Amino acid sequence: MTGRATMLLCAAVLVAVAFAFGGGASGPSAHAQELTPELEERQLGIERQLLCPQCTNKRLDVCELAICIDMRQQIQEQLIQGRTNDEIIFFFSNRYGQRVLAEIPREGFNLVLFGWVGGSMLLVALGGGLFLWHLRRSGRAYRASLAASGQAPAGSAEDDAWLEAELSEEQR
Amino acid sequence: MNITATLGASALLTALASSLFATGAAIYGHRLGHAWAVMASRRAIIATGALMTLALLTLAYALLANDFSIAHVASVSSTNMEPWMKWASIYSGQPGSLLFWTWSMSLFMAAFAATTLRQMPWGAPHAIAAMGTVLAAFLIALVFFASPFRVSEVTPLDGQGLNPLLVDPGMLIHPPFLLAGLVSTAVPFVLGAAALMSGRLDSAWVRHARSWALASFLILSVGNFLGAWWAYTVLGWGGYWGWDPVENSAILPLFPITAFLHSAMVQERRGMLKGWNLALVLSAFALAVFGTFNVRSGLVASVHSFAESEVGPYFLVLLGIVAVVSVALLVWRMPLLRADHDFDSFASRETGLILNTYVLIALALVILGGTLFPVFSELIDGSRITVGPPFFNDATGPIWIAMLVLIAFGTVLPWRRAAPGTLTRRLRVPVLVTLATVAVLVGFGMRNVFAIATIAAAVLIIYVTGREYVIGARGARRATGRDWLSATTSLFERDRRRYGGYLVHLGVAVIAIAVIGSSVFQTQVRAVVSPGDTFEVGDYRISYGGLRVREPGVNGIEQEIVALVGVEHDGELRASLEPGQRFFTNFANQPVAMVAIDGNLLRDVYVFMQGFEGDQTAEIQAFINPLVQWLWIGGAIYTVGGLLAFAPARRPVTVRQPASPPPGAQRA
Repeated sequence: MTGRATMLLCAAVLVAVAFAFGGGASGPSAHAQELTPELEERQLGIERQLLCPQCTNKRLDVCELAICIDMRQQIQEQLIQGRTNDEIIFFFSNRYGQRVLAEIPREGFNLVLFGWVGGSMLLVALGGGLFLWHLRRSGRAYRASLAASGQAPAGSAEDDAWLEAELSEEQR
Repeated sequence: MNITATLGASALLTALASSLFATGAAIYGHRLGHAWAVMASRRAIIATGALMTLALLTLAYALLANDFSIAHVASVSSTNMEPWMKWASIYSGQPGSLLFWTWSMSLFMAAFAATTLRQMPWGAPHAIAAMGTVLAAFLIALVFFASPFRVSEVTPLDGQGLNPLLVDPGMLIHPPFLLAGLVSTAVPFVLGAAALMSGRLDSAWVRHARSWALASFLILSVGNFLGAWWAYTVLGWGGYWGWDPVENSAILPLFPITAFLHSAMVQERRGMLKGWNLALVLSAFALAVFGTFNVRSGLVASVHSFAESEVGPYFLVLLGIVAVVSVALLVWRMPLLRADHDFDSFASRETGLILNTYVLIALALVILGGTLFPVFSELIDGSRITVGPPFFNDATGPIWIAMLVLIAFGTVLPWRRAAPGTLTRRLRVPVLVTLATVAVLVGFGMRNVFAIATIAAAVLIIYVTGREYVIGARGARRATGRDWLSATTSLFERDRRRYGGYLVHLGVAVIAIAVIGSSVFQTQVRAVVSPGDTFEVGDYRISYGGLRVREPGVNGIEQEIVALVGVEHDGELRASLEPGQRFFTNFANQPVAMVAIDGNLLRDVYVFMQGFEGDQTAEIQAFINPLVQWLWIGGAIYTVGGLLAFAPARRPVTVRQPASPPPGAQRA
């Protein structure tokens, strides 16, 4: 088969495939008008802040579903119209709901999540701190009771010998 | 009658009976003091493992024989699938993954019954009863709600085939590791439950649980590494961790298990943290069940899909039972958990280890909250939202850094008590190394505070861990006159647990640097190109030569459209890549990206084709991912360290034969 025939066959197959799989579902975004490098960068930035409405946690800039190709094209058109990034993101949030926002808005009921994070930190810090304090206090009481009864801490001779050997200052 | 389906279903039903018998016989034997009944119950656990293996092999046979009268076989395989790829069909789909889950769990439990259980007469009946109950709970789901051997009323001529995303060699190893890692948390859980039920709450159960928890930690970690590698090389988004609910479910049990491995040391050596250790193993298994419930019910994706799921509500009840029983056992035994705390000082390794477990639990709480929040938002507020990577990065970032810093300082601090002079001496150089790292990074123009802090903490770990090896090897050289290499090797012979653990810490540090390099300093460029066009990404020029069509004709793949791409640097062709898209016969609307990578130790040039037109125009995305290969190297170091730590701890000669039991055992 000649190179030309192969190319023609490939082109035919490609057209057929594009048609079979939804006629452009896998096609590149329509670039009716070329974006300036600055607008291209802004477009990518906006896409990275949006998620595919039909997937779980898939960013718009890397999704190949037809709906995402369509969304990318709309972003391009809105950029050319001179809309700001926030306006474009608001447009999609309004249309598909907050689930397309990669960054969860810090407002309304969502604040509960941030409260959970803060509460978890506080719980671990306070609970953990109290537990450590309790350990030290009961450790002192334990040692005092041993000292009063004239006993050494249980097993401490062996333990200390081992720890000494393991962490000997001479080794350092 | 379908003999294969009948055999498989019978094996499952017999396994259920066997597990219930194990529970009943263990309780009967313990109550009435019949040793034969306890022995029979132990054998019943082993028999359950054998029966589950029979069920799995039966399903494998049905897949190989293309028995599409079985609904699961028809939904996850097809005639043109290669036999090796059908291994992935076993655990894809709900019934298959549940079968694999329960089979893995039954094998872990059978291995536990055949080995460790013989060494723990104090709690054998309790452990067997716990194992039988857990196995029965999962087998009920398999037999009554999601049987992989359900026969369809109409037999299709061919099967649907495997989900396109799963048609990848990575799928042959990643899910088995992950599922096995999740179920392996059942053994430490069973040991903890046995300790609580029997009232034997000294360090005996901890010594047995440590090896099993380490196995669980290793398998689950490898499963997550393989998952990250699969996501990176298959999913085509330039990253490896997306904070997806499924990913989060897989990593969550790792936090309490890792925390247990550290706090178990404190209980073994100092007799403290009895209740805390029990809570950690119980919560690890509860999180593993949560993961299964979350993944299998589709809860986080949508509350509606959960409502439609057959096993979702069942697993929710099961999760509730695990949680309630765990808390009830802990509360019941609380009086026995009080111990004399031989705790000397805050400036000690004990404090470092305890603080590190706090940090790990804080990570688990934040990730669990973020994973579940969309459910609460939809249920309470009525709004469907996504908790995506920005939230998890912001919320967990500082905690990860705290963990890295604590790893380093925990290594430096001595056990029991550090004298002020010792503390200053040991911390002086590490602090200077940290400050020097920060100065160098800032000097090189780095301004991202998070990146600077992470890299500085990672360098700190590498320094203090390296110093531990050097000090140990120097001591061994002095004592034996060996060369440096064999002196270093001898450290692992002397105390594998300690030096293996340090290697895991080194792996974590390397991973941290790789994560910062590949995420914070990632470059992304997208271009629509025609044959002959070029575009630049970072210092590289990407040239596009046109499209090519391939027709593999196997595994349900109809066609692969690949772009011919060249990667040039300084005018030289460095690599020829073929990123593309793969189309499947039975999944017309689910093309899968074919990622192409030109990688070295400094960076990956990561290319995928996002779209194409019949006129050979293609939309190409290219990423420069710095240092990403160090993620896999760090993962390998971590894994090797974990494997080395597997061996029993060997103490120095001075205490190898102690005159009296260790302190923790005496006080128990």
